[in-house]
Parts: sequence; structure tokens; C-alpha cells
Amino acid sequence: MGRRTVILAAALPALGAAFLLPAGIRQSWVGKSQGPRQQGKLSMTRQGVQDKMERAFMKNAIMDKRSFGYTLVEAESEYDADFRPGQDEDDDVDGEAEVFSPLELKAMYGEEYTGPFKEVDIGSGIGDFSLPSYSKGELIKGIVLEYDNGGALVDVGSKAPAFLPGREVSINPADKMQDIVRLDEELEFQVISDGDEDGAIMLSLKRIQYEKTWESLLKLQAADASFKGTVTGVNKGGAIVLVEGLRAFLPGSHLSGVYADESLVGQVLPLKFLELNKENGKLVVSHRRALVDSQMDSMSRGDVVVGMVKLLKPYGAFVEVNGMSGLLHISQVSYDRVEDLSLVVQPGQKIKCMIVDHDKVNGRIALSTKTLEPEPGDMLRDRQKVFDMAEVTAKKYHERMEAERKAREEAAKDIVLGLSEGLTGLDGGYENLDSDPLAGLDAFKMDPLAGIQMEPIYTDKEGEK
Amino acid sequence: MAEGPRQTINQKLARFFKVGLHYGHKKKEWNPKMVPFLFHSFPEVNREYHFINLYETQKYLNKACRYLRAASLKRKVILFVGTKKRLASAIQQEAMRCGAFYVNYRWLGGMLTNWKTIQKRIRRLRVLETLQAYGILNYYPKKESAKLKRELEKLNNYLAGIKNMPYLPDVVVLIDQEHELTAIKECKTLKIPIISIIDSNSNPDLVDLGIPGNDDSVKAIRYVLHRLARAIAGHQQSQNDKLLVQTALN
Repeated sequence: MGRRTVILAAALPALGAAFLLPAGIRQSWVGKSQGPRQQGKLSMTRQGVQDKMERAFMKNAIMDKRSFGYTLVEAESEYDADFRPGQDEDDDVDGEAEVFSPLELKAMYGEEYTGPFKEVDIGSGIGDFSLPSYSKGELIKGIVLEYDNGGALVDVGSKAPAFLPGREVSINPADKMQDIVRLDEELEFQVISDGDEDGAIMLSLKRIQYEKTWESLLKLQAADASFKGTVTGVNKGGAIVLVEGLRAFLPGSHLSGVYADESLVGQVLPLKFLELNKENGKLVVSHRRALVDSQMDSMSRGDVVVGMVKLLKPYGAFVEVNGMSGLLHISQVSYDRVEDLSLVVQPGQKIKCMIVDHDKVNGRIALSTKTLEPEPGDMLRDRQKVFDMAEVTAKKYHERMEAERKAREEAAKDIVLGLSEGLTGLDGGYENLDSDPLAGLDAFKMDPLAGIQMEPIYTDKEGEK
Repeated sequence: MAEGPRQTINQKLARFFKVGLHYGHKKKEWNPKMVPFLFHSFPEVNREYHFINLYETQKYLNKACRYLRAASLKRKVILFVGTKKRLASAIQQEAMRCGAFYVNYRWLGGMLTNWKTIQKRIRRLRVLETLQAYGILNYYPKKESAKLKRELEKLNNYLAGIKNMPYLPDVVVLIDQEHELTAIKECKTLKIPIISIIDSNSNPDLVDLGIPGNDDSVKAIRYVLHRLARAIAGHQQSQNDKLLVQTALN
């Protein structure tokens, strides 16, 4: 008896289980130190290490596992704040017994507890038993839960939260996800993938935005309205413009009034559509067209305008006038022969010229400086004089042209009247055009220029006009 | 509960519904051993998915809370394991709240059964942390410094939760059973009790204390984790809160 008690007494501490476990739980850590793996030197279990700890320096260090204590983490979102301890009615773990058998539950809750769920519980309205399944392309509403790596998780009422990738947040890739998509915000999304094995679907905001933007752009194009766009970049062919969030191309030839270089970036320009193709994603705009309408009416033939030379070609210079592109042909520069155009005008220079012809449809103008020369060849000799006297010369030119025109008309009238001597019914004009005015004429009989005074355009160099 | 229930059972369960704890997996993916925990719904309600019996959920959740409360009072080491990508921050937060340890990125093979080797990695992590704290890393040549920083980042990722764990855990809390099969196997080898959320496709025999519930929804998992974390450390906190409230009122 004594021996047995001694053995028992020795055995008890060796068991190592000095604590009571809650009823009903498998006591699997009792006797852990006596398991086959834990024998010998390999003593990485609680018992073994505790022995070591008494010897090792680590006893004084972190090994009190409560040493880093209880960190109170700030509530990051609404539903997190919901769970603050002490506020929840569910918080009933202050050591009370919480394991109830069905009979106990029935006793506690009485009629409300109907035992394990039966089919009747569906109608009792305690909860939502629907589990929606979404298909690709659907538009659904969801609440943003939290930011995950590379995206955001959205609660759409399904088993697993839906994922919104960072790439699908906005058309403009520079936008930050945190700015557009805030926590606990309800937004409308488009489903872009069917559920994976967990039932998690992928969502997109970008696609909805894309559709809306294209719709509004098509409307603008249909109305041929003018809109604004910001220049974001410049390349060899022209400029890249941001139009309602989409990137459009503005060709260099359709950019007017300003030079296409880096200084243009950030400017807002009025634009109109040149080409709009949704399938290819093509979006081409024109600055010139937007200005054309406003400018075209203000100009007419014979106006003296100031323009900037944009480009030199062997056959002439392209001059930018009031937003429109005009051609100053080399033959129209001066009465004298111009050998090298670059000696006369340079790109970037401002020159005065007269509008000779204009084409409203294409927005093109034909220009001339010849007519502004007080004396022939002045453009080559002294450009500045030409420019200074441009208005005066132009006026003179117009007067002269008018006079010439009148004179020609008179002459023509005389001719016709003379011609019409052989005809009947003609009375000072071209009213009767049924018969050929030259019929019955002897062309050599009459001198068409007889009696007409015509002034030469230029006198000789010493004389004045 | 001598006075009787503070809320009706419907009101208590409303929280579970709100959080989506009752959603189960597809019917064709179920595990028949889960029969006692499931509610077999009418085809009119849902043809495809199972729903989970929330009375059982409540019962086992309370059970788990009590168990963890007892364990924490006895100063046991508790380990949270959840390797789903979208739960990384949730696991870390809840574990830190109550002074438990966690594995929120990949569960390295042999983390428990090969604990001795893992400890070597933890020692390496500490060394690198010290180097960084004293700024010595910047004095290395560029390439080496970058290499060491990368190593530090990687080790931190995997081991940050268990670098302070003194010895093998006494309880392990899992989230998704299918995801953590390696962890379960290791715990079984070492005879460590497992608490886990079990869904309609999980095996309740593998775990020691299973809480039937939805293991996919972030909201649902956060709720369960929060309840468990509160059970582990909430005793102190709720008492502190009560003190605060009292002092505020006075």
C-alpha cells in the first residue's frame, strides 16, 4: 500500500496536468509531454521548454507572452466600430456557462425556439435566405468594405465579397483608388466575371464610365458642337488631348494659332470632332474647325490681316491667319521674282497679307503680299516698309481695282452696245441674250478699244502713279 | 442566465444574418457529415446553395468563446491561422488585439512539426530587424543591402505573427478548412486542439471544435474572429470599458 501511494504520488506531478478543463472538450493536451515524439532531447513542447526557460536567459526577456500586451486597434470602418466590447448584447462570455442543449434552449426561449431550423422558419422572417447569383455584364449595387491588395472588396449580398481590381476603377489611369472609391460607400458596378469557386465575382466601375462617356461624345458629334479639352502631351504628329476623360488625338495640321510644343501641355482648347469610331477606339479632334465658324464670317476677300508664318515650302508659305491656315504662294509674295522664300519670310514671323480667296468648307485661305507693295519689289528690299504702309497700299489697291473694274465694265458695255447696233431690241445691257451678240458682225471692222482711256498700272520708275 | 434572455433569439440571430454567416457552399460540393449543421432549404428558395443552421452556430460559437476564455485565463498560447488573401489584415488585427499569434500569409510546411528549423528563420529575422533598427543595412553595398531588405520583407511577411511565440501553441484557430489542410495535419500530429469555422464543404471530424458558418465572407469571418478575440482578451477590456463608462457618468 505504501509503495503504491508513493508511486501514485510520484506519478501525479509527472502527469503534468494540473488544471481542470471545461467539460465536453477533448483533453488532448494532457500527457503531451509523454507522447512518443516528445521523448528524449526533443523537448519543444511546453513542458520541455519551460524547464529550459528556467535556466536560459530568455526567462527575463519576452517569454511572458502577455508582455506585448493588449493593443487596442482603432476602428477602421463602421462595422468594426460596431463590435466594440461591452456594447454588444452578444457579449456574454464573462465566465458564464454558454453551452445549452436543445431542451435547455427550449426552456429559456419558450415558444420562440422551434428547435433546429425547419422549413417553417423561412416564413418567420428572421433572416434573408436569398443568395443571388450574378451574371457577366449585370449592373449591381454594392457597399465597399475594405481595400485589399490591388483592389477593393465590395459586399453585394452574396456568399463571398466581390472584388474590384484597381485597374477597373477609372478610365484615367492616374486616378487613385482611395479617392474615387471610399469605404462604406454604395456604388453601382458592372459585373465582369462569373463567380469563381468561392462565389466571388469581379466588378468594374471603368466600363460604366466608358459607356457613358462615349454616349455623350456621340451626342456632341451629332450636334457638331464645340467642346473643351485639355492638352496632356505633344508628339511629332500633333497633340494628345483629354476629352471628358478619354484620350483624343489632335493632328498638327488642325492645331492653329499656337505652336505645337511642350508649352501647350496643360492648356484648354476649344475642339470639334474630326473622327469618332467606337469599335476602333478612334477619337480625332480638330482645333481649327472649332475656330473656323467664329472666324470665317469676319473675313472676306480683300481684308488685310496679320498672320504667323508656320511652314515654308518650295511653292510658298503656310500662314496662320485668325485660326485658319492660309497659303501665301511664292508668286504672290512680290512682283519681282523671288528666288529663295526663306530670305523673305521665316517661320514664326508675323506678316501682313491680303486675303485673295477663301474656302469656307475646308477653312483655307489664299493670301497675297504682292498687292501690298507700294512699289514692285518692295517685299524683297524693305519688308518693313511694306508692312507699315500695308493698310494704305491696300486701300489704294482697292480703289484702283474698283476703278479698273468700272472701266472694264464701261468698255464691255460699249463693246456690247456697239455690237448690238446690228441687233434690235437691245437697250444698254445684256438683257437680251437670246441672240448671239456677235452675229452679223464683221470683227475686223471695229476696233474694240477705240475711244477707251486705259491707265497703265505702273508708270515708269521715275514717274508717279 | 437567471433573469432570462436579454434579447429574443431572433434578435440575437439577426446579427448573424446581417453578417452573412448563414451562407453555405453549393449543394453539390457539400460534405454529408455536415448534416446536423445544415438547413436544407426549399428548392423555391434556393436550388444551389446550402444554408447553415444558425442555432447551431450560436451554440458552438459560445462554446468556443468559453473554451478560449478558459485557455487565456490559464495563459495558453493561441495561434490564429488564416491564409486567404483577403483576410490577411483581419487576422493580424484580431490576433494583435488579444495578444495571440497568427499566420496570415502562406503556412510554411513544418511550421509546427519542424518548429526547431522555423526558429532558426525567426532568429535570422531578429538579426535583420536589429540591423535595420540601427541603420547598419544602409552601410552595406547597394546590391547586398537591397538583397537583405528583400529577405527581411519576406521573413516578416511569413513570420511576423509567430516571431514571439515561445513554444508550440496550445490551441489553434483556423478559418477555412480546405485552405489549411497542412496546418490541420501538423496539429493532428502534435495533438494540438483545433477550433475552426466549418462550412458546408468541410469535415467536422477533423476539428475538435467546429463553428458552423460561412468561411468565405470577410464580414462573417471578421465577426467570428472578433467574438473569439474578445473572449480571449475581452474580459479585461470590457471591464476597463465599464470602468470608463462609470467614471464618465460620475
